[in-house]
Amino acid sequence: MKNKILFLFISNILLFAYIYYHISEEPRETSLSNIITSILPNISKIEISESPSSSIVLTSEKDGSWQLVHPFSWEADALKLAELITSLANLRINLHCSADELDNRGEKLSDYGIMDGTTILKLDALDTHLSLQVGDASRDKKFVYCLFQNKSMEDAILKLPIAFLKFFDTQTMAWANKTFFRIPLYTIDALKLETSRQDSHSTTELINEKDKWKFKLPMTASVNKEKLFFLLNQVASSKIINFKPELKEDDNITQIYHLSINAMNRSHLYTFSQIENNSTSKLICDYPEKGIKFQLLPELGLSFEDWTTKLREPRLFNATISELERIKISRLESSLSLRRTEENKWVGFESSGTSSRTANVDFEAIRETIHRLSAIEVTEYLLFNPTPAQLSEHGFDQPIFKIELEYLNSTKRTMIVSKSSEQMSLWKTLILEEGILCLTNCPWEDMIRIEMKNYLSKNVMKLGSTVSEVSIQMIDDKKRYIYSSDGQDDETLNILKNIYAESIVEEKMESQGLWHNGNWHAWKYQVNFIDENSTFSKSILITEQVNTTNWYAGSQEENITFNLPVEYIDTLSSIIKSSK
Amino acid sequence: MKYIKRVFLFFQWATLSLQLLFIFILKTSIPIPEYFAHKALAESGLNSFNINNANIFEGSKLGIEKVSFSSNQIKVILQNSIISLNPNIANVNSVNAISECTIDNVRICSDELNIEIENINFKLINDFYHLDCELQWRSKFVKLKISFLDFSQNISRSETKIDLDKLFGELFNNLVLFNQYFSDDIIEVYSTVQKGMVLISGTTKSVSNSLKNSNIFYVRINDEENGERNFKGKLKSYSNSANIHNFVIHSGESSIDFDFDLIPESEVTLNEINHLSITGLKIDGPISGNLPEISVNLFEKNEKKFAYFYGDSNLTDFSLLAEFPFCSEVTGFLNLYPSNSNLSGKMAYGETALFDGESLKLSCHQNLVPMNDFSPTLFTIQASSFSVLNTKPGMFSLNGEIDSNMSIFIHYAYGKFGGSKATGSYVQKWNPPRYRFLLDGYCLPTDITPWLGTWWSDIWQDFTFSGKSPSGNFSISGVWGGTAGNSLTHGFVTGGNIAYKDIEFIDSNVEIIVQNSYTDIFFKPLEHRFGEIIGELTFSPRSILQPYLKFDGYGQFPFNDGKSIFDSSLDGLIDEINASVVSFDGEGFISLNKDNEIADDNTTSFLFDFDTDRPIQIKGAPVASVSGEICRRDGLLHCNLENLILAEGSCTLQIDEKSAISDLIEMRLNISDARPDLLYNTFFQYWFSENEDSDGSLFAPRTESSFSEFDKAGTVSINLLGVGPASDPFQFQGTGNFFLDGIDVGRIEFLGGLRKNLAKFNLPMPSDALRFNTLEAPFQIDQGNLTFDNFELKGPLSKIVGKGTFDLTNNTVNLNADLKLLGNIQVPIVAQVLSIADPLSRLSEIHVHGPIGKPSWEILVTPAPLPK
Repeated sequence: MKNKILFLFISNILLFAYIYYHISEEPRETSLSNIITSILPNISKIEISESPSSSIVLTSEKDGSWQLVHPFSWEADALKLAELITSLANLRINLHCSADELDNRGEKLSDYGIMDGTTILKLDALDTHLSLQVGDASRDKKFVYCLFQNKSMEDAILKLPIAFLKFFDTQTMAWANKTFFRIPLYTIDALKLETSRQDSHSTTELINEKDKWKFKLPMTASVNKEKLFFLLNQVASSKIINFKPELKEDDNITQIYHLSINAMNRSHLYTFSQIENNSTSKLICDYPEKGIKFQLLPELGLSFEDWTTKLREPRLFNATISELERIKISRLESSLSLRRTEENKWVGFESSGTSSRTANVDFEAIRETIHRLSAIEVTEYLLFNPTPAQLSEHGFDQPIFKIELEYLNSTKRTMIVSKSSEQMSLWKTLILEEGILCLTNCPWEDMIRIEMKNYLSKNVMKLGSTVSEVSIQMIDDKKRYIYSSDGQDDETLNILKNIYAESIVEEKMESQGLWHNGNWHAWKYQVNFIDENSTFSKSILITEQVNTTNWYAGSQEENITFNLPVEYIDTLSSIIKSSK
Repeated sequence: MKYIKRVFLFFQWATLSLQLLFIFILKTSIPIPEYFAHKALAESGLNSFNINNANIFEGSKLGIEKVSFSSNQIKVILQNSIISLNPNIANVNSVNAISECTIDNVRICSDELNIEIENINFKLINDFYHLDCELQWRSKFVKLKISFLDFSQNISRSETKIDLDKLFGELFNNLVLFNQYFSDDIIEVYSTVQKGMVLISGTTKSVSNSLKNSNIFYVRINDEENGERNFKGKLKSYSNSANIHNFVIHSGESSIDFDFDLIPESEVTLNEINHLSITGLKIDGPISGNLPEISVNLFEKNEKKFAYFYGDSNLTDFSLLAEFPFCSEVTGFLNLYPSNSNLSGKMAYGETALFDGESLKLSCHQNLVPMNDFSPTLFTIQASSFSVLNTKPGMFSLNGEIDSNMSIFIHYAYGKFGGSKATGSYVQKWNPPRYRFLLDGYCLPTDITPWLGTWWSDIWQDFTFSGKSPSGNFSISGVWGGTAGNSLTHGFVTGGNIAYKDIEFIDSNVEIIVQNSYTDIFFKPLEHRFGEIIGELTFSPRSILQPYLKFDGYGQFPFNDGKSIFDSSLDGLIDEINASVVSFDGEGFISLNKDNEIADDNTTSFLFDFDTDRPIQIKGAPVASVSGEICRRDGLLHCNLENLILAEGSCTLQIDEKSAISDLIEMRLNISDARPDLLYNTFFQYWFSENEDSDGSLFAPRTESSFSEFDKAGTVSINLLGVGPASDPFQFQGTGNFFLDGIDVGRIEFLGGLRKNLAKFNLPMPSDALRFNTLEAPFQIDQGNLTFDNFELKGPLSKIVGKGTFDLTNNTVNLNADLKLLGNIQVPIVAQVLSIADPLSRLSEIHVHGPIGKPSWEILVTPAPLPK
């Protein structure tokens, strides 16, 4: 009986052992991998330490972000942590041996460089903890030995890829977010920069009113928003190079910038101190909000310099046509005054000293002039509030142009343009009302037109919309027709019948041709326009094509000579080429 | 006690039995009837469900040899599937019922796709699933390892019905990306999701993924070959405010191409800062090099969405604010410092720096007064010492506007670079990217060659410009990247000192049209120091099978200056002619297919009428005037000089090529009433001066002064019809006639002088017997032998009749002549009487032989009369 019981007992034990072994049979590498991958989703704390006194502790926040909590509180570098977690998730586990096997192998942990004082990476997740203690690199330098510790299994020595070493970095800078300015720029409502030097103090104050930035101090003027954003982005993208910097005895504070920012009903203050000593310069930022000081590259200090010039709106003029009442352009004795009438039309008054005339002007010409003025930018500020002597020095005794803009709200803007004798290629502009003397990007002679003919209506032929047929014939003995629309309503006809002047060449017409720019251009073709009821027939004479942008036409009826627009030239050119 | 023993024994037996049963189940496979399997999955919504050889083994594992099912569009076949159920029975729910699933092969087929996924391992670890598989699709092989993929939501939905098309539709969308961007290299993509954070890393040259609703993602790409990463992109999106997907990084021929849609989905709004920064970008393709760091902030304010671009590097600093999407105004600035750039462009002529120089400054502003309606942005560009694509550095200033379609209108542009100074305008539209330049000013066309490529430089390669740049006016339009030859260039170049090859023009008016890759150059006119040329040149595209040049023109051609424009095959002929100017009217078609001479011969044709009223020289010989035509028809050259004044005689010359493969020509020459002295000089001073006599001495040409008045009297006429190779006149064969009239031939110093040599014989002759004033010599030329079978030298009384040969190859002469002292008395009967009575005529036969310059004269006394 006893033997029977014993037999049964032993059989059960053996079978149990077989079943247990069979079920629980799993490679140790798989277990290690499972432990690592299972801990990752729930990691709440990461600690990297060489010793208890020099540890870095990072904790996970509820929103998924990571915070550096030791040795000081600061936002962690999310990408560094992302890289760590990704690397752990995809770690190719290479089990060297278990710690228990070391004795059998006649080895010690220290043989692998694992000893007190080597860096430990600890991961905490809920009730699970995992630690990796770094050792020496393998002989082939491809791996590094690590001691793996987790309560679920016995300690083991792993061979991790050598690239994993970077996660044992105990420098705070390796794990901290290196940016410090994280205020969305568009949320900023006001901004104040106080600059203190040994002998001076200045304040620049900017305010955002309905998304338009303006100087509040030291003057009133428009601020170029993108330039402001650029400077602020320079601050926002500057990287901390060191936390808690230590000052030396010979460090000398040369400048202090107090930057206070109001955004989203909160106030943020940063104090940047420019420090010089015999050999180096540095920039230290004091950030009371976080209670910490950090060091930045000293070049950032340049971003706080000269805001009144850097941030000023560079355009000389920026207004809609509807805001303007009068434009007056003067050059020596000649002047042209363009004025809005009560009927909201524009009238021009031309005066050349000896003669004058008045004419209706084309709205498109007004638009073009204002558009051109809008594109003029200051490239360099020379003087603010110049004295008469300074103006004389810069050639303003005999200015070349004077442009006066009068607004409907009775304000005025006057731009006086001159060339200095020293550098004749540089145009200098005085904005009279603001007392600004500057250089501009404008070739004024090309941009500003002072002759009335440039402002006359471009609809020189006054054909209306009833033209139904256009023909072109040679001006010779045979009067050969080279094109006839023949009543077709095609694209060519549409272009030909909508004739207008690109520019007026002369307000007269000679019967044989015209002299222009020293060349004689004889009339070569005649373009005839006939309306659908044949009630009128008008014609123009045109020269040979001069080039791709010039082809002259003249109307005896209107007594005007003009240049054709480019699309008209394209069409005529193709018609005449195909007729040859 | 016994009871306890029995119970213990029973327990032992029961345990043993159970353990044996467990081992039996563990080791035994139990087939499942197909009926039950079908029934179990009947409610899944899948059609045509088929399952083969399903069985349960190892207690908790389900093995299926083959499963196939389909929906309307997709058919799925699974081979050798093993599903392990979760042994943790106490904690099993619908989500974690399966602990592991391995499938050897899954094939997903539809009309368009055929995807194979192999070695699938789908495993549950601590409530999170891991998926490993190898995916093959259209030769693309992808290894996927997706860990921590939270399937819980998908699985809970699938409890009711599986929408197979939807499930795989998304997969297919992603696979389309794989196909489009992945190289054929083996790719490993690892993806993890952790607390809403998706992390991707890979070891491949290229990676693609489609991500949605991710808070932050990190992309790292390593180059397998080089070990080190060749690209590292970081993309951040804080909070839920950015919805970036279809982000693609591709490091093949074109390194980076990202496409992201920032329009938020449903509940996601852009009410928080969105930041995207891209660093270390390196592009390769038509443009290659390193790009500066770019930061993009996206935000919403006053119900408008904005994108703010920022960069601050040594290459560029910029701060640009654009309303988003890009259909409204852009404001801000961009400063470019080209000398710090390593960007280069691949042009037809090679790789060159994209730009160089000092700086370029772009400013964008709100456009309150647009020239074109709906153009919300006004911009200006200022550049100094700036060069694009290796042009000469220059200064540029321009302003324009951008409309709501992002079309660019530059209304005013000013540029000064190289020898060019021009103003102009530019329009750039999109969809298609149509452009048009208008340039006007002083322009050296060659200054912009680097922009326009080889087709442009081809036009100007034979032009040189000196002094002040010509006035240039160009319109260049087309579609960037459009079909080849889509562009149209129309330009005018006037004035300036232009030279075409060696012809210098003092004034020019040239019109150029390049359309459909054909280049037309109109000269209207080109003025040179002797007159002007009006005409047209048409160059075919070089890309066509048989490129050609067509010309049509008239005017005064500066022949000497313009010799270099003729085809090199005519060099020999052209070099012999010295003419300052020739009036011409010509047209033609010249094949430029130099690789195929036969084709060239067949296609080149031209007709060239010319006329010169000024003296010219042909091989040094003065020609008072000439007119005629040179033409080429059917591959053969024809030259017909109808009015050539040579040695004061009128002359016609007709030369016809007889073969396209040899230089055989037929020549008809007719010289009438030329001055003998001048003609002599033409032949022996200019044309045969280098010839040596058979005794080695050079022919001694006579100078103008050495001719006596006697020599200048009389006339000479020659006609010749011959056929032979143009390269060797001595090989000619033909016949001709030589006629000399009005000169005392006996005094001519030819063959040592007739009279002088006859006088040596001291023949008893009347005083006028040795005077001869006409010579008529029909001849035949063959292989360098000039054969006279019957020449007659006549004087008032006497005549000499003879025959013989000049060997022009060896410069020897062999003549036999019969002197008839009174043989030229033309009185009937008297002549016969005198011929009988004249004793010398019966005795003297003159034999002249030896070198042409100094032949020997012998008199032979023959018993028999000479044959007539």
